[in-house]
Amino acid sequence: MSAPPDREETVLVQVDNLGKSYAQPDGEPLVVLAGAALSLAAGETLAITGQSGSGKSTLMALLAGLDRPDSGRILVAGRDLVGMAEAELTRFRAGHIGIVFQQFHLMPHLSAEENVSLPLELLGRPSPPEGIDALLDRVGLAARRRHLPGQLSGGECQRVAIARALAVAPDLLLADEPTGNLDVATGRSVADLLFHLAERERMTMIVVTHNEALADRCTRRLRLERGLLL
Amino acid sequence: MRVWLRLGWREIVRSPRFTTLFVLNLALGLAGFLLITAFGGSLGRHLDDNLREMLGADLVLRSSRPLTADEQAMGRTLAGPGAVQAEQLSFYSMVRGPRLARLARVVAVDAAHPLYGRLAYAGDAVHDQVIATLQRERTVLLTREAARALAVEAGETLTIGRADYRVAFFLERDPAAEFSAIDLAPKLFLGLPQVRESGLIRFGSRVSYQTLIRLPANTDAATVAARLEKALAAAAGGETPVRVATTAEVNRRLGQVVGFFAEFLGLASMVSLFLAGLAAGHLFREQLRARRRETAILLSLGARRAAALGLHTGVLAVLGLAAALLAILFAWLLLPLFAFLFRGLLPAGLHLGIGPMDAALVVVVGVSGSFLFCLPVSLRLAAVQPLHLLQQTAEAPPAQTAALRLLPLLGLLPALGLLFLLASRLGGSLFSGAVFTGGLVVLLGTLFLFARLLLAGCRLLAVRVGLTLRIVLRNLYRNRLAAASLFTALAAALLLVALIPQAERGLQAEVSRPEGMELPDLFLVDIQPEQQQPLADFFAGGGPRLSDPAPMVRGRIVRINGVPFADWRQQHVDSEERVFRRTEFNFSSRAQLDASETVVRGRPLSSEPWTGEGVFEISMEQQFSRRLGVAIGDRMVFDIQGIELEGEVVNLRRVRWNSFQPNFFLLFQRGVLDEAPRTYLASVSRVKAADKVELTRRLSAAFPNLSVIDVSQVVEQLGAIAGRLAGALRFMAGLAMVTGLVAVFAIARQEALRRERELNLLRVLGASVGRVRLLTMLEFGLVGAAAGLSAVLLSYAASYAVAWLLFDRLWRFDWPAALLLCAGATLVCAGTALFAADSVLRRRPVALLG
Repeated sequence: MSAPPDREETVLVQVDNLGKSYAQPDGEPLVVLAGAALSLAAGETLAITGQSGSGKSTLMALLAGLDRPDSGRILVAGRDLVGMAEAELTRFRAGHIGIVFQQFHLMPHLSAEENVSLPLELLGRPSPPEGIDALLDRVGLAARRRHLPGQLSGGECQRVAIARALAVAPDLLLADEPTGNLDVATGRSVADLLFHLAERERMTMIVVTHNEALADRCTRRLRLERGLLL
Repeated sequence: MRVWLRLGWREIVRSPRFTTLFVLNLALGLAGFLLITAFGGSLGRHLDDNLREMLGADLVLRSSRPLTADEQAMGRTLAGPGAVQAEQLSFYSMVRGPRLARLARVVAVDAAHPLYGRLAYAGDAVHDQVIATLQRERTVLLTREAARALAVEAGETLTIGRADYRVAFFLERDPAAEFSAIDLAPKLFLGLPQVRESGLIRFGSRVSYQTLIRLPANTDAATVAARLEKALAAAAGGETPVRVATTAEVNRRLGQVVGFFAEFLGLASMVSLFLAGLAAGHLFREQLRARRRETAILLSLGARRAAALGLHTGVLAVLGLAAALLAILFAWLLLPLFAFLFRGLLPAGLHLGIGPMDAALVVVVGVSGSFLFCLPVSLRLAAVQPLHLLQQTAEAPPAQTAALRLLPLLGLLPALGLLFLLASRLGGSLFSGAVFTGGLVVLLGTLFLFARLLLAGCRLLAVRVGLTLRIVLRNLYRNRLAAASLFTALAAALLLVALIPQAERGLQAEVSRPEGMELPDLFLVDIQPEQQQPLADFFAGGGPRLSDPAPMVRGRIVRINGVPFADWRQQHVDSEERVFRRTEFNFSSRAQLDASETVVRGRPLSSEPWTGEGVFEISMEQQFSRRLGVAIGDRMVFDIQGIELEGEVVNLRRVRWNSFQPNFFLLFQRGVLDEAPRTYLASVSRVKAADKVELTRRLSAAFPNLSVIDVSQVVEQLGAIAGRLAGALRFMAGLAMVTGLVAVFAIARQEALRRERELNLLRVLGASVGRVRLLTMLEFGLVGAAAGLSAVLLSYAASYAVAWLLFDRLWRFDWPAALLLCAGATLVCAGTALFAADSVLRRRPVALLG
């Protein structure tokens, strides 16, 4: 088990006693999380691994504020996600949390640069073209900024998704199996990009993955087993 | 805001096929609705603008006897100082020209004519000169069309009654012309002082005496009319034979003639609009998967849910607006076709156009309808959670509660509400709107349930058939919702298509050939008692056959069951029933019933003549009894030439009015009318077409007072009118069919996209493209065949019921048409589905497995 942050370091993410279960047709609830807890300092990268069906995606959804736990507390940058109303949670997520999905989930009819600037526009923040260009340049796609997702390869789509997640300069970056839909070589280059940017921006990042190599690149590592983070 | 506008615009332009089909489909449905709305609106505006000219006055006093001096004075007094009056009378009479004799409508006017409007004359004729000449000399004024109908030219003479009148002037425009083709007798004008020369104004002649009044400016006609009616009734001691008509009443009456049919057309257009809405919903459903994902992405990026849903609503609104604008264009292009279809039935000078309010209404319906018909799909978008992005499947989890499962169905209710409002507007009442909407829901629900039954049968059948059919039947059963929706939409459209020709055929057959009866060729009216024998002698010797003349006596209904008729009318009769506004009715009696009559309730009239003691027996026509609120056993008191007689209703008769035989609402027991002054009616049959003109001319010469109605010409004109009306109905049915086909296309395409993996797998496993196409065609062809068969059976059941209720069971099953409809539905459905699925079928299997 990786060591938790020292008390002097700023804790960006604090999860305590998180519980989540789902109703089943036979009436017996399926317990996915049973008191999971973690603590993550600013600038740390954490890998959460586990077998299929262990609840990794559930945990990711709770950390991103996309779902509500049955019990426990989630603090991100000092704010309790569980206590927030829906609108407040949405607003907080938009400005403080960046998400990279396994299936990229780009808007198919927006170009690369438009996909990247979309979160800023939704927040109502100005999105100067040079800022967007710089982001795309950082992910190596400045020359493809006007291309639609359908004209990009899987790896290129994921790079755009990474740039989009970084556009709002989030406090926390969540990556759900970021290389899961990519071949080995492409996955490696995307992973390199992701960690390079995280290090450069001193980004706090949580990566959910079953890829051991990817998990090894994080500063800390936790395993989700029987509803607990070990 | 800009980001939402940009996203919305991208949604619209990135799916050109969806956008085009959605807009086109909705535009077709809206176009039908707009055509009817514009038609009704144009007619209404025309009548409002021209009624005074058409009526020739603000008020008209009408009676079947000359107005007394007191009555005329009452009119002058109550109309107020500055009012102007004109006198006029009109009647139908045979008119003999140099070449033929024909029934015409004679209108005798005084020097004040017309009170409104300007008559336009051919040549150099000046109005004052024309009117003065008509008063002074035996001359006639008529339109060129009337002259052609009478085969007479300028300077020639027309014999009316026993006097000759010279054709002196031609009228270019008669503002009082109402509906040019429904008026079956050409009209001609004489001077009022000259009409008595004809000798036709005598006892028994049906003459309408009119006093026309032009009111002073800013006088409310309705108020004056009400005061006049009251004063006339008071002067007559309760019931007056003088009726007061205003332009509002004429407006309503004229509007009813075409309005009734326009309402029916309007409701047919509602079916088309509903099917277009159904197709729109299915087209939008095709986009559901992509839109659900995009909504989830936007929510995950921090967009507010209301804004994300507002994006889709905005897109639908824009598409609805585009559809409305396109519908306005379609309707503008199609209106001349409508005018052509209704030619001869519309007032002269009517211009059909789309008013601004009509256009605004279509825009509102387009925008709101686009949203409401897609609401069941939009509700599923409202349930999207960004959480779904983290799941491996793009599909939302199935609904967990019964309420959630019912949500799409409940989402249809607002669309039905919109239809109800529109149907109420078109039908003229909330009741007709409710009947239509309720009927549509019942029809569609029945079709849907029937489809589910058939599909359940597919499951049972699937185990007994070969592989190809097994796949087809299995697909149908497992995709029950789509198959049932397809079946319902198609069957509803086909039902309309099937019903209309049957209705037209039934109507034509009923009008031209009443079952078991010989249709007469001529109908004779105003036969005087002393003319019976000469008339019989005229037709003696073979050839044309004269029926037994039927006596006709005029009188008034005084009381029913002790209640004065005026009070009874108020209590029992619908205020819209025009026939009961008059006070005089025609009575007759006969030794035995005509072939066109059947006693349906009660006992036959006594064969013994009434002795004058007690009450006599009455036979009443059944529809008349229902409208009057009279039943067997009721007692009625009549005033016939000042003598009050009391009778009792002993039976109700069904009368085949389309037999064109002399028939009456009220038949009295023999002996009641023996002493009453009367005229006679008769019919003439077995007249050869080539001899008709000559026979009519000879009849008219021998019996100048007789009116001869050419029945076959009437039947032909009615048939022509029925044909034209059916043409308009067929047009609407065609629109419904097109929108139904779009629904077929949308559902077929949706199914093809949903099952592309399965189709691809079949090909990977070795099925050829041809085989996969065959499966698609068979699957949708079976649905089409079932829908066609259901539509045929339902339509024949409906037309049989209508024939039984209205047309005395005249009905035939048209095998060729039924087979054609079923085969057509099968082929069209299969072909459309193949076309819709083609782009999926043509993809390489490898590409689809990626």
